[in-house]
Amino acid sequence: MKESLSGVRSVPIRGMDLRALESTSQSMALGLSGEEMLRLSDYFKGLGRDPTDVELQAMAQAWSEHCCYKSSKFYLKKYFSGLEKHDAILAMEDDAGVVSFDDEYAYVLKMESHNHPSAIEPYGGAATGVGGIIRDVLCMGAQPIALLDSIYFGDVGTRQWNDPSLHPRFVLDNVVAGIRDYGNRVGLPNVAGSVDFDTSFNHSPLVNAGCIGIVRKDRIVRSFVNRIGDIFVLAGGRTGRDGIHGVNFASATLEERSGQNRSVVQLGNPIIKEPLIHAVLEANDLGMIDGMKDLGGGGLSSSVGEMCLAGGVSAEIDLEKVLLKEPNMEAWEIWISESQERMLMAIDPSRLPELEEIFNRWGIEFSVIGKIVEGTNLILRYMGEKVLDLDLEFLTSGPVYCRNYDIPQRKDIDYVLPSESFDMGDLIKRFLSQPENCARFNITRQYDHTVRGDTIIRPMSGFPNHETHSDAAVIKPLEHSMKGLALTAGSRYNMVAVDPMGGTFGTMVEAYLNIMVTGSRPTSVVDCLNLGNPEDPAIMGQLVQISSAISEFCSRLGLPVVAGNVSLYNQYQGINIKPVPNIMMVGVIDDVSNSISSDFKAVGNSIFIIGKESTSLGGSHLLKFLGKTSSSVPWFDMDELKIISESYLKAVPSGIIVSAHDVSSGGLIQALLEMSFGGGIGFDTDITLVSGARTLEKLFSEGGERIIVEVPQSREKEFLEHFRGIAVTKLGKTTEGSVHVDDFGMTVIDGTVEEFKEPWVHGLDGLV
Amino acid sequence: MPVIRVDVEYLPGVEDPEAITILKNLKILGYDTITETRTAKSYEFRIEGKLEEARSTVDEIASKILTNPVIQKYSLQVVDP
Repeated sequence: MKESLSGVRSVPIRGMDLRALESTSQSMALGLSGEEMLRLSDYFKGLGRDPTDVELQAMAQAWSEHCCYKSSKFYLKKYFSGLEKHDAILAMEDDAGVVSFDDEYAYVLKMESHNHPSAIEPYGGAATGVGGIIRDVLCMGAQPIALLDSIYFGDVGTRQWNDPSLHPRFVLDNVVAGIRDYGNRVGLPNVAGSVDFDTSFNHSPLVNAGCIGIVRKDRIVRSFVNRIGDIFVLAGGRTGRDGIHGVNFASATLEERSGQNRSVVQLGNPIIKEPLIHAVLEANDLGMIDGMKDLGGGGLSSSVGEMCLAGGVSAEIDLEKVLLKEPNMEAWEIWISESQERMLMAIDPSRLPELEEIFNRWGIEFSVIGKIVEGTNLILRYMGEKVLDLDLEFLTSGPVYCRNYDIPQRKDIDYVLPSESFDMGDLIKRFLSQPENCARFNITRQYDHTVRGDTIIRPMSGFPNHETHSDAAVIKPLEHSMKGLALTAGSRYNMVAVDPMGGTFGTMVEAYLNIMVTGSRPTSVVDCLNLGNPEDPAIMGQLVQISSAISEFCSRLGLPVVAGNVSLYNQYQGINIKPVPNIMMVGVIDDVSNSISSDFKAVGNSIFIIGKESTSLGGSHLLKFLGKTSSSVPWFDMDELKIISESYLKAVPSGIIVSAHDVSSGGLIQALLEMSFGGGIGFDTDITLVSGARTLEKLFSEGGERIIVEVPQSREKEFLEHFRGIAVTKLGKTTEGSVHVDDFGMTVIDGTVEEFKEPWVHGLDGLV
Repeated sequence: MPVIRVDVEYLPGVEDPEAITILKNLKILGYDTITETRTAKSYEFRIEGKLEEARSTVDEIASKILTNPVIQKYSLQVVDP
């Protein structure tokens, strides 16, 4: 190996055999397979020279699973490229999705996983997950306005833990602390999301962070550059040795990530991020940013490469212009470092003085690191030497694998329910006290929901000491307009584990209903797919089924998929996680003062259930609680969903519906109880007409497109008239605080709101 | 009764946002001579029994509970044998 002034080495891969290539990949921590190394060696044979270490490291970043989606790209393209854009302005094109909000404004949204870092350093991993997703929204020129998170943990209550990986409870506490500290300090409300527990996440927790922002349509910044002569400005945090090889790391399973893990996780610094947001937005308001991208996985290497390739231009970069945290960093380290809080902007050189004034005022460091040029080759210089000179197309596009997939035959399993001689009230209380089914307040109360003053429906509804879960959060992003945005995120992964396709339909239906019950019309979808090892055809089978279900749902309901993320290799010692298609959905409501929350509003009102019956317990929380498995999930009827949603949204402005909640985890009974926990108003219901099934099935089935609504008694006739032609069943009426359920003339449940609320509220006590 | 102190600090190379913020604000306040700040957390344990046993107990607590070796390291100091 030759050394030079810049410290850059030439790596003689042209003369290496497969074994030597593999060991080079390993010793340089490239994370590339032998075959990929062979491709590189052939390429450099064609060029007639060996690569520099900078070039090899850059290739490894660009070709990692994280950056080029080599395992999933083929199928994602197949299922998502044909979808219509509807209200979307940018769908699957840039760093985040952009969707029309009103004539003048657009909203920007994205959700991304940060699973692998969170598994080894939960606090920093979760915090930088939040930080990264804020930058994705910011780089479209948008003001970030709210956060949401879906997080999945293992058996947090277990006392048997002899594994070297972190205890699930430690992971839970620290992930929540990381999200809390970053979000609260940067001043963004955390308004929605989900928390789930399952032993399959014992060693592979999932952290999916989402962000939404708002931007004037004429100020949207694209993630590419095409103006020759523009300069690249790198602003925000300095570049250090932290976070090197994070993306290669994400392409490995946990037990492979032993040894030098330190450098891949950082803590994140929200105190720099806040002024950085101000500075970037101020510069964008003056129209000086021609293209922008945040620095995430792959660092400068991936951001510069992708920005230029998408714009059909190239760049010349001077690495010594990059501001460093520590001296003596090697060229390749500077180029691929994933240090946090950095933004890369392309501006016209004539506007540099203005930019300087703004960034100095906000106390944000920056430097000009290079310029945009014509040509096909990206050129890097360090200490006066050329250290990288590569064809951008070859460097950035990466390999695509059409991996084999297999959809295993499911065995038919008939679950046998216990005979109903037990005390139903007692069963429900035990069910509600489980971490999986109880209130999330211990977690959500650590987050600020109302900073910025835009939050109309918070994650909890009701009044102090009498609060319940909301379906979707509603925020009002613009001061001068009553128009609002509704946000939700989550997954019905228990159903997906049984049937990836049916379960994904279930997930989409729930997200849709969550948005709709608030009175908002869903207008966009972001999917965040979390799966096991893609080299296993059964895992690829899950990816294919999940993607096709999302695609079918969206084309039937007229929704665009505007952004997405795939996290693979969520595997530990050969055990894959249950597949989790985490769906973020956003809707628009014309007037937030019409928005509907989930808590019962008054005593004596009528309670109805809208939507046809569902009796299947497949993939339900009850079966999981009872320790039973099933081989099928309920059927979801997308045509019915469409009809219900049209009628429902028309009814909203008239005020005939005063509260509403969808039937999802925990079924009808959990939905009714949750409505009564907010405000303490009870219910007296008869479920005989809900379906002809057994009481347990009626109470706990999570299927169908069903919502429970509260209607003032005086407007019952008007309500029934409005929903004519749709399956609507009257359940009963709201009460002072008692809970009563009859079925076939027998009392099934008789108690008070308080006695059911107690176990539900305290389910996470002692854990977080 | 032995008293043992555990100091937990970040490994070199891990960015310490709290220290950076303190340094930045000290500069604003005019403390120009300070060039670097680092933060650490200190724990003190008073333990029954002999010093050697106490030391090994604290060592176990520090490595299992107080630190994540991915980003932190710790050191023990006997305050009072």
